[in-house]
Amino acid sequence: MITSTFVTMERGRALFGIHAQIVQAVVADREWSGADPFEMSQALGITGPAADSPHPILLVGIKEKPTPIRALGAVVMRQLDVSSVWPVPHLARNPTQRQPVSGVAFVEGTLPLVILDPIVLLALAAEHTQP
Amino acid sequence: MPHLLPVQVQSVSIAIDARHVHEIVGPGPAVLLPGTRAEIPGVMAYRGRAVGLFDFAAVADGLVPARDISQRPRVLVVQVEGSTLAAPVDSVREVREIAADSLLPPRLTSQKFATAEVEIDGVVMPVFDFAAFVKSVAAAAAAGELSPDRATGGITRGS
Repeated sequence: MITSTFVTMERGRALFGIHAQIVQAVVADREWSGADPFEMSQALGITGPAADSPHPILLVGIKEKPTPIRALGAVVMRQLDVSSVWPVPHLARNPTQRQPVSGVAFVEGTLPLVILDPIVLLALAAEHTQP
Repeated sequence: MPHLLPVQVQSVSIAIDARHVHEIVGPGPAVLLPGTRAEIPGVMAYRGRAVGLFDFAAVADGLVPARDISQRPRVLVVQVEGSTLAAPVDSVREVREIAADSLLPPRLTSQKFATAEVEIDGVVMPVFDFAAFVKSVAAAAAAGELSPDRATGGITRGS
């Protein structure tokens, strides 16, 4: 069995995850002093995290210059059998909108996991930070 | 003579070409996804893969999009044009053999991708054409793929 580790966050009836390999660090928001982070909720078109909930900053991308992205909530590392991750079917993709989702995993006993596409996420974050 | 499968979604009756319905199953694990088209708001697990979850509320007048369509009691697994879709419905009736001249142009019903309407048991219902829907989606996707910058913001996976 080949496994991959994902940084996951629970929101509604799903978990949202990003491959841990591309997350350089997870920083508590109270300890974050860098540039304004990009809101992951904005990329997903959902409401932002509640003010009183933990919403750490994920440093995503290359080690030398990672992009700060605010998580949807508390993060949990989860290890998955890669064969349980399925691609999003072509028909479910919207050609008029960038879809920050690359796959899904249905694992018994847990909420469905929506795998986020780091390339789209970083592109959206880059647009957000451009003046 | 065409064989039609009448189904009910909320208070609306819809007929489907029975040849397109591969299987009728109960609700399975499903999740709504961000950034999808309204007609296919998520995916459902079906036989070891994720298939698009089709929402009739996005194409038919008089239907309210449900917060969780995957919880409807029956799911039609539709296979058409080489694609598979899971279409949750509230109820399914028996397949009816319909005389070809009973299929009339839509007049009383209003539904996107309905090429005809038919009266079954005194109820006039649209005949939803899944093939036309899938072709439309595939054409839109092909058009979108011609503009990679729109899809990925100029960043490609090979770069």
